[in-house]
Amino acid sequence: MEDLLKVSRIVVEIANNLNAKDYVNFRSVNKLVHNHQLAGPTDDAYWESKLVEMGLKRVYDKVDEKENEHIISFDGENDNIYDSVTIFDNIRTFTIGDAKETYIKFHKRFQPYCMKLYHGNFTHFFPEKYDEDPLIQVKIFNFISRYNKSNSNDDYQFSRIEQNLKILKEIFVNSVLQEMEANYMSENYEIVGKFIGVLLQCHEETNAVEFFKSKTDPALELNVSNTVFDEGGILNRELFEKSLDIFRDYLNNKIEMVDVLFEDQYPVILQFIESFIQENVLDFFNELFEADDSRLRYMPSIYFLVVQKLCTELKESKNGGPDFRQIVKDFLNMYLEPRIIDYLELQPRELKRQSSLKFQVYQEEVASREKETNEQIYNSLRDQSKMKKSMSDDKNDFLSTFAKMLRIPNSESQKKQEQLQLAYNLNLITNNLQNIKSLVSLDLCCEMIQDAQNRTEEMYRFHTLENVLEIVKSKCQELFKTLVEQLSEQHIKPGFEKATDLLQKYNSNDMDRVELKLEGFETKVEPLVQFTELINIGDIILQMTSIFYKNELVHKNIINKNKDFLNDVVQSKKNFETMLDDFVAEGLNIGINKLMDEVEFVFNTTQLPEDFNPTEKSAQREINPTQCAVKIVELLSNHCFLLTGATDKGTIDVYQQEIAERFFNEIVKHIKKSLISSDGAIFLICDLNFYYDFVAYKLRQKRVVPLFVALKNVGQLYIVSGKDSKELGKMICDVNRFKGIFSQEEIYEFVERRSDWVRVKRDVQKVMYGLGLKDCVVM
Amino acid sequence: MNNEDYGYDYDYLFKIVLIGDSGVGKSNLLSRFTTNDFNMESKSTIGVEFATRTIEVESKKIKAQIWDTAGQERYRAITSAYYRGAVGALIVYDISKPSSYENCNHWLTELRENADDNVAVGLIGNKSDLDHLRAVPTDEAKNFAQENQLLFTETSALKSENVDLAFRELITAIYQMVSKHQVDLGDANTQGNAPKGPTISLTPAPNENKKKSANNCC
Repeated sequence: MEDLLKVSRIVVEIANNLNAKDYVNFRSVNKLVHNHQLAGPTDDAYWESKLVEMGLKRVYDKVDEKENEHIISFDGENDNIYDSVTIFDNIRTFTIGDAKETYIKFHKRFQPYCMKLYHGNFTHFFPEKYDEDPLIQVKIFNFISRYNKSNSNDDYQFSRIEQNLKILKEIFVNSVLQEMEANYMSENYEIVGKFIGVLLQCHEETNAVEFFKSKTDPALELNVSNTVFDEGGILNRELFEKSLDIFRDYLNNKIEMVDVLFEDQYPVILQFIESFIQENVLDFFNELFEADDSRLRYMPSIYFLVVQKLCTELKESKNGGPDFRQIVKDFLNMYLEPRIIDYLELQPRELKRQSSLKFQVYQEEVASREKETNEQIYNSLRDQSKMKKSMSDDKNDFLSTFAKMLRIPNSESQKKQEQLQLAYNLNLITNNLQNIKSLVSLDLCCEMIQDAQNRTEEMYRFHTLENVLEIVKSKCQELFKTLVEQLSEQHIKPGFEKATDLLQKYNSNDMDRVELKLEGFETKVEPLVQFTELINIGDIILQMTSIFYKNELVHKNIINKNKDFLNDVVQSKKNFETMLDDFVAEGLNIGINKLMDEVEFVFNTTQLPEDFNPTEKSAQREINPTQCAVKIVELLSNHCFLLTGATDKGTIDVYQQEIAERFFNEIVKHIKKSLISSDGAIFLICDLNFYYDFVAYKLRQKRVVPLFVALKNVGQLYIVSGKDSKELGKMICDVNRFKGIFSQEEIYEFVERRSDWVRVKRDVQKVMYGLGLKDCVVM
Repeated sequence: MNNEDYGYDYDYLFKIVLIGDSGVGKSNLLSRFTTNDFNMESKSTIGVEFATRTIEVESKKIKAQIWDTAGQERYRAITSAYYRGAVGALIVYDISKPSSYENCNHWLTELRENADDNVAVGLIGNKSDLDHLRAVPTDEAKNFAQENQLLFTETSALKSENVDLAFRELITAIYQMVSKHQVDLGDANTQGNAPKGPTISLTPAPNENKKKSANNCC
């Protein structure tokens, strides 16, 4: 056995497995061991390893150590300046050679504790002076544990001490918790805060947080109303605010408490608020919105109220740090985001649903009103036609009455009945035309646009939320698109289609032929007047949507005009405009056709043969425009300015020029049908002057004025005396005089309408064909 | 003094023609006389325009039917048609434009050739407001008028100076001639079909009283 100790390796190996006490004893076993095998560096190494395990650092040169106080501390005499609370803070390093001495200092302070632990002796564990100070006790616990690491080469002792220390700590923590509980109950929160500090020192953060949580069960403390919506689904703001006030007050209370309990030692409040939002606020929301999707429409108001109450109105929190409120806001945004997106997605759908519903109701109303009017018309006509007796009393189903009548074989009644049907149809068209403007309801469209505008404003309130901004934009775009599509497809398109259809069917001359007319009904409608009102309405709607587009989408940067010109929103807006333009063009075209029919009708019915071919006596009348001309200009005046203010100038110009051009053609046709004497010429000239003045000074369409200048010159073809027939021939050749508007053939045709044509014809032709070309040139 | 109040209620209807170079202000003279309007930007007349005004002369209501002709008409056949049946004419020139004055001779000749021999004629020097640009001395024009037995007035349609006077003098001259003529012609001719407002034609006695009536006139 003795021999074994002669082997250094074995001695060192043994030594390394001994605790300090056993090592000191072992080293003393004989001289060899003491003086050689466990001496010098080997001995140093033993102590060094212990210190290192305790977390101390070996330094080579003491002078390098800046903490000069440590040098002093190695003065054996001053050993007493260390105690178990401060020694680890004061001694952090050692140098070669002083390891043992250093270890002794720690050993002296902590070995007694360890021995107590080793023997399970927990009573009066701390010196009396530390009894009242749990914080120091916790510190000592931690240091014991650190010191005990130096015993780890003696596994048995080390583990036993560790184990018992753990038990002791548990006892300690429990008593701390008990103290906390008691102090919490008596609302000594500051003391509770101290104990929390103890727990945190103890690395018992979980216990500390759990304690706080156990004191804050929202379910017990919060009594929030879940009936903030009334039966009609309307948000009771006051009630809702009250609920949020309860949440806010609750949170503020906790913020204060956390600041007292934890101060800024351990982050608690943010996690607490996050889980509060996650559990309580979201629960509250889920309950609110689950019942009815449409409640989501209050999302903006709700969101901003929530932010105000549960973020802006929260107290400052030391525990939450300087960014506390911003972080809370981020939480709110994060957890409410799905609801916000739900809301945003719902808006276009809701607009579509509601507008469809409203348009449908409107169509039904119009249809039922129409049916009612039709019945009235029919009944009134039937009464007039004195067929009462042969009619059944079935007033409700007037069409079946028609059907019955049709079966009557009697040709007399059949004729009467046919007439009735004709009258009915025509009166119906007239009446419908009068109601043309009710085909598109401006009020309804305004309402819809207003609705969409309000929705956009509300949705846009979320643009400050970075995460949803893109969704806000895309949904606002979708909403506008929906609006435009609904307006055009559901309302304006069918309205205009019906209107143009009615216009097309209407023939004012038909009405004049019908014997049966309704009393109290205006039988003479001006189709264009009616249609223009519709255009006007369409234009207002278009303007409103344009303003909407500009103010809501462009100004708010929801759409970038330059970047998004291919965007389908822009496209649908364009489609809408094109559709309206097309309807306007089509309607105006029909209207102009009707107007020209009317012009022709007036020419044919009111221009008397004597007007331009007067008798000697009637030639003595004053030179004034004929009754026919006055009537025609009046008719044109009534129609030409209908669009003023209703649509853009370009359309108006096109419209007026088209009317003027076609009117010009009607005049040409009319002159070619008339017979004009040189006495009557002055009256024709007067009419033509009258038409010219209308076009040049009232219509002010410069482009068409030359047509009417040419007509004035045509008038002069008739004033020339028959005696001057040769000069007349020259005038026909003078194409320049008519500014190229009429060909020579056409002028010849005009001259043919002279009442003395037969007499002058020969001379004229002689001049025209008998002379060389140079004679036909301008004089 | 607007003619509208009178309507068809007139005793005589006189056809008067306005002639003279293009741009001398015929249309504005007419509009000044009939509707008291003046148009700064009036365009040149195409063909012929009409306007009427009824005035009272010796307590007779006389309706003047005035034909405002285009100054640049080239066809004699057309101008002669204008002159047909006219009992009065105003030859207008621009006092600041010598050529328009020089052409008066031509207009007078054309008028004499085509109109009734007894047609009453006034010479009008228009645009008297442009005195600073005057190119035609008043005396020269006055002399010319006297030589040709024309009435003479300088007018400004713009400033509404002497316009009424010029027309009135002419209408009065026509009236005097006509009333004298009626007496000359005796009742037989007019009584039978003498409704109110016959157009006066002076043709019944073509060249016969030429000198005499002209003397009466001027």
